[in-house]
Amino acid sequence: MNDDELLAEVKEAIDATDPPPAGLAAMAVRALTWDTESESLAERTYDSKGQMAGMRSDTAVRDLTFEGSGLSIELSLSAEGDHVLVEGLVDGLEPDWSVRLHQPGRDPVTLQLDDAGRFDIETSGALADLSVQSNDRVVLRTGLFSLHPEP
Amino acid sequence: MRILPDHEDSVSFLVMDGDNPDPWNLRSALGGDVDAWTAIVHEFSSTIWGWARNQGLGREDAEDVCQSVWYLLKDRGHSIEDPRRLAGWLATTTRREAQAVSIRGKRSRSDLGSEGLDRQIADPTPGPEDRAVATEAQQRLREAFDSLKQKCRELLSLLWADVAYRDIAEMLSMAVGSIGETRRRCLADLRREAQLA
Repeated sequence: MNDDELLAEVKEAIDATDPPPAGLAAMAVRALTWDTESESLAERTYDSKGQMAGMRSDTAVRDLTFEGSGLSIELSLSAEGDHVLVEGLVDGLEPDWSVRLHQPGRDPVTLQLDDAGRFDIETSGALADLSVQSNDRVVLRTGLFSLHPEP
Repeated sequence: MRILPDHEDSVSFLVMDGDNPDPWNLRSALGGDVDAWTAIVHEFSSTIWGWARNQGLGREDAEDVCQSVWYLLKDRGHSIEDPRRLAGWLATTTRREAQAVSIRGKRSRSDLGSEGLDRQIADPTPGPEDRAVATEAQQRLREAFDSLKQKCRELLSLLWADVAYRDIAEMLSMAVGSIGETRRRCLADLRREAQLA
């Protein structure tokens, strides 16, 4: 057996001894229906990930800022056991606009904001996308970001 | 799967079908072409699973990572400048997401005490419903693979997915020119461990 053949054999052995769960590919196919609306995508202007501020070992906090369409969205993520606390501030909202949290495989959630545009929500999962909506029109979306406060 | 030839003397960056700027039809897939997207999923789904497991994740965490990678591809795939490097993008994204899960897992395990730890330890092998029929020779190869150094396991798993050499070099912090020799050494270790002639 030459090296190329061995490499192919070991790949087959890995697949045979640790096959992916049934339904994994079907889940991946479903990801195609994820609504991406790339024209309303915000620019990520700040991410503390990888910077010293996010390195405190006892309280991992990650700060993110997104900007676009005259709006800014500031987020702070912190780990709460298995969950993640997302605290946010949306600046530049019109009175009838709303903010929604989208996560793969879940229904979108409309967030309760105070008069200053602040909110907080505890969630689980790996990824989230926040959108600012004017009725059903997306004014701005952050695009998927990792909910893990680190690394 | 195609296995790349040894290119130890070549620094030409290996990409699939060099003349085709989008061999996976990534642009069509991201534009909503179900057939193109499904073809990409079937090409890479089990590979991404293997990469996630290779980072030491249990099956449940690995499944979450796979989901993240596919949603991130749909969400951010437009920013992949050279679609020929799709495999490298997937590999890098899988590794990053897996490491994030791994760190959070450690954190929550320490929060939960021994209960969480037991759950993680109980997790590493597939349940009977997921177990495919593996031959004895495959079991032996698997054990030999698991006994390799982490860098070897990562390198081999990137090679069998046709990840471009320059992406491998970046991910594993090694020179493009040393990949061929490292590949040979890792496979020699594998032969010895599996007691292959």
